[in-house]
Formats: sequence, C-alpha cells, structure tokens
Amino acid sequence: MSNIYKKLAVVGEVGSGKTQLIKTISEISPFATEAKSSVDIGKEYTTVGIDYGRLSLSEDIALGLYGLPGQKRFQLLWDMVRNGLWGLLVLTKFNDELNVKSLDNILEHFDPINNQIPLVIGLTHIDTAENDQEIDLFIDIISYALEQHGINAPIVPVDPRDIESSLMILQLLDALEQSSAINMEATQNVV
Amino acid sequence: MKRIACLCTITEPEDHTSHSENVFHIFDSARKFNKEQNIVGTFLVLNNVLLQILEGEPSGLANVVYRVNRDPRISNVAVILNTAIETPSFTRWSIKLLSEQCAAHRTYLQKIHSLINEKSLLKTNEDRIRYNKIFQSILSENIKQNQTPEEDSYTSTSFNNTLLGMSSWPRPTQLRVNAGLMKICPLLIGHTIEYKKLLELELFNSAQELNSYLQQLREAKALTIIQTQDPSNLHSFEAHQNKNQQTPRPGRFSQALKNFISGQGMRASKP
Repeated sequence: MSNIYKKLAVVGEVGSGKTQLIKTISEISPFATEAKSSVDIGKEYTTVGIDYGRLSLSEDIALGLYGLPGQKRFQLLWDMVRNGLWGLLVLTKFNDELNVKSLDNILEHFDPINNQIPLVIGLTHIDTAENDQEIDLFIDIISYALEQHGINAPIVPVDPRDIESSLMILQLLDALEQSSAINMEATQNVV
Repeated sequence: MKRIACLCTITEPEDHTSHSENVFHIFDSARKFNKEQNIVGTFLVLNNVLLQILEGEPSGLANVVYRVNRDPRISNVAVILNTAIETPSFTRWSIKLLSEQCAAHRTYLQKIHSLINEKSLLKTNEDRIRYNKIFQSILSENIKQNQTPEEDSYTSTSFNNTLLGMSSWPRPTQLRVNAGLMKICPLLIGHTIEYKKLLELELFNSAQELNSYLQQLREAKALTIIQTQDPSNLHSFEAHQNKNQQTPRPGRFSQALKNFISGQGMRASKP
C-alpha cells in the first residue's frame, strides 16, 4: 500500500500559539525557527520561519505540521506549503487588538473556498476574556472578516498546550473534509 | 443621562483598505473615544449602514456626535433617537457586525429594536431605508414566525418529516462543538437536509443519539427546522439522492486519524 502524507498549515500572528500547538501534537521535536524578539511581545522568542512537526498515524500514514508566521511579508513561506494542503488552521490570539488585515491577507492568499481546503479558526488565550460578551465581540469581528471572503468556518477555542484540545482541531478538520465528500457525492446525484 | 441613536453610512475607503478593515478602524477609534467619555452602547454594522446606540451624560454624547459628524469615513449622519433615561441598558461598549443569517444577531436586534422603535425620529426616506436595512432580518423573521408558529415547538423526538439546516456554526459562548456535533454541523451548514437522510447516513449508533445532538443545536438556536409533509417535492439535493446510497467510507488517512485520536483518548482516560 502506498504511503500517505498530508499537510496541515498552522498560520497565526505573533504569540498566537503556533509553535506550542506543533510542539504539543508533534511526535518529533519540531524544527523551530524562532528568534529572539526585538520588541516586547510578551515572550522572549517568536517564529520567523517555518516550524515543522510530524505526526505518524500509522506505519505509512503521516501528517506534516507546518507553522507559519501570519504576517504578509512571510508569504513566500505560505507559498511553500500552500499546494495540496489537507487543512488550514488559523490561530487567532484573543486580545484587544485583532489584526483584521492580517486575517484578510491569510484568507486571500490561501483561498480556502476555491482551493477546497478545510478551514478552522482557532481562538487562543480565550481564558483572558473577562466575560462571554468580550468573546462574542471578538468572534463578531472574525466572522465579519470571514464573510467578506464568503467563508463560513468554525471558530473554536483551542488551548495549544493541551493535547486533547489540539487534537480536537484535527478531528474537526477531518469532519469538514468528510462532509465535503458527502456533500459532493450528493450533488453528483442530483437528477 | 441620555440615550441617543445615530444612523450613518460608511463611505468606501479610497485607499486599498478592505471594507472589514475600514469598519474595524472606525469601531476601534470609537471604542477608545467612548471609553474616555464614559459612554456605553453598541455599534451595529450591516454592509455600509452603521447604527450606534449610545448612553451617557449629555456633554459626552454631544462630543461623540460632533466627532462622528467630522469623521471622513462616515457620511449622512442622522440622530434618530434622543431621549432621557434613568438607567442605562448597556454595561459596556460593544460591536455587532450583523449577518442576516445569524440567529444570535436576530435575538440581539429584537432587543435593540424594542429600545428605540417607538421613540425613533426617522425624518427622511433615506433614514427609513437605512433603518429598515438594519432591522430587516427581524422584521421578516416576525412575519415568518407569524406564518409558521409551530416551527419552534419541536421536541427531541419529532424531527420526522423535517428539513434541517444551519446558517452558521454555533459560537463557543452558545455551545461547545463536541465530537458528535462535528459530524453533523458540516453537513447542515449552508444546506438543507432531510432528517431521514441524516438518519440514513448512519453517523451515529442510534436515532436517539442523532436526536440528542440536534436537540443541542436547537436549544442553542443554531438549527433551522422546516416542517414538510412531502419532502420529495422540495428543491433539496438530498431529496434526489439514491435511497440505497451509503455514506462514503472514510479514506485511509481519515480512518488512521480517527484511530489515533481515539487511542489518545484511551491513554488520557487511563488512571
């Protein structure tokens, strides 16, 4: 039987938890490309290249995990992994300053609708919200940005430090892919 | 203390700024300014129409109206409500970027509509058009509810002869997506599907299990239920499917992933 290798892109802004999520899921020590941050971003190191991790699901089936910085200036890196993606996870850090432009850029570049890439928006640091209203406000803004691209994707909280929470994202991406197969098959059966 | 409602049109940005980014910038500057002025309220946007409901001291509100009138990103400013209040209805400054399909928004809009409807001063035809645009989803929803009052009276066992659908994913503040919901939500979002067809897909071990997840969605107001006596006549692609058709079998990758995740779950549950 032939080997199967799929790719998951994890894209997000500084401090959104990409590197941590890959560390949590990956069976190998990720090839991290972190550098000491030159500005105060609340942590010492930040991703400046691709973080790579791998998850072997069986002897001949594996998932490659590609952590990519969310800034548009790194789109060369986005291009390197864009083709043939199994899934796209956009990590968004809950805080007071959502970068809508950055989300726009990511969606425009990966174009999940036309490229038929299952997309999940993962909300991290949601525990810092004071109440549900704050979370709703943040989701409102993300939903609005998604709607501009004609996208209706799940927006779910994720804790990148927690294996169960991180694997739930993979489960959701798989469910999205499976459902698109069912919907596609159903469409082909329209009389 | 006063409450005012301010209706505006968001102008098209002249640079390469996207509409969503433009809206966000307007909101963000308003948020900071209103915080300084101790003003609470809400900021509602539907396409290029912006409705702000503001509550605070008269001097602070006057500053806001002055500022809004001078904002080049906004045009045709009309104050459509100006009333004295004893206690504020809002506790903070919030934003709602409205979507016509979102059930949660409709509920919110009902509340806002009841706050301003009777006292609103819609002087011009343009104001009425913009106001109706903001509230059109609830106005049409009211009509729909009047026409089909039985739609919301389903119990967990009465999904038979229904078409089911969802317009958007439930929010984490409404309902946390679990493994069961993951199976059905992607099939329902943006589609209508017969309940019978969902059963035939055999996503769950029993009809009761499927019903329990549908019930969760229903309670979170995320599920659209349409009663039908003869679903075969409806223009739903699912209605045309071959009855013998089975759920597509998951590929090797999907199966391996499922096995891996369930294995992880087993390990996690070990003492």
